Amino acid sequence: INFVAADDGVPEPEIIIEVLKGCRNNNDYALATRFLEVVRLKGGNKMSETWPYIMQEIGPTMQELGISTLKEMGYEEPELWLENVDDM
Amino acid sequence: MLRCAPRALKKQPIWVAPSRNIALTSVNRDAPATTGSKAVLPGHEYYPGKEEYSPVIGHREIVGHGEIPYYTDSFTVPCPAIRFREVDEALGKLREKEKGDWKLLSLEDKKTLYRASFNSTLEEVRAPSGDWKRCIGDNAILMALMFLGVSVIGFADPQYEPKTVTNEWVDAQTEYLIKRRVQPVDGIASWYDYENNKFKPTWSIFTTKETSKSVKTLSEKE
Repeated sequence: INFVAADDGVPEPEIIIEVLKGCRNNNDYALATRFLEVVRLKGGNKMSETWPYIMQEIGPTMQELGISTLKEMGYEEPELWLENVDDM
Repeated sequence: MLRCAPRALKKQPIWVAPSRNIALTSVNRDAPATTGSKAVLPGHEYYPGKEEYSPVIGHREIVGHGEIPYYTDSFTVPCPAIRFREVDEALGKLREKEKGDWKLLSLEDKKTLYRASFNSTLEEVRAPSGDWKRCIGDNAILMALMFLGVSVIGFADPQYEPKTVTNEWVDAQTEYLIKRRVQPVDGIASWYDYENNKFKPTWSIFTTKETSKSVKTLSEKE
């Protein structure tokens, strides 16, 4: 996943589906949500265009596997506030 | 000095693995990470590298492979090689649940799983900290103190005045400048009438009550 995140672009839906299935095989739910956050933030300034498209494409597999969307988890906006180490 | 925090968000307590030593002691870097582990909590059959790196990490799981595992929260390395929190009994049971169908996990379970693996969401990594308010506030306080000091101490005691501000110095200065005829076009020599030995009327712009007295004495001298 770190290599996918290092690429300069939003990954294709097929790749995303394969990664989510890999998470399912390894029984790691947190990794799946983290990966979805990465995919969303890869859009950058055009997040409002890429993210709904990707949600469309992945929607069925996510419902199959039982992963809840980022909006349901409340992770589209920051949840907790952590003090920055540089400011202490 | 001043601390400012965004009011709307709940503050996350800073958590560090309690059994963590900073010095590396007896780490075998060439051996593979899958060594036999001893007492394993339920739901944790994959627990590689626990003994080798435990003085550094604590009882956190190693999830990736490679060099010494270290946890970071960043957008460029979103999935670090170790999880964040240590393993308790409750987490062990959650992990067993995770092996089953994910649709059975409640929202709270999912959130605890996430926070067990990661310290903060990526969105929180991007969020601004609001530190600029503290910087500007501290600077404003210091500047206010400075202005206070200058106004109270600097203007009160004549000992702190520079000597070039007194009228005697200024009069001697103008006398010297007029004699040298500096700035004949735009400046001081152009405002002085050399035939009649007095200042032209435009010089009154630059005089106050105190200086005008000294100017009169100057013109009387010459």
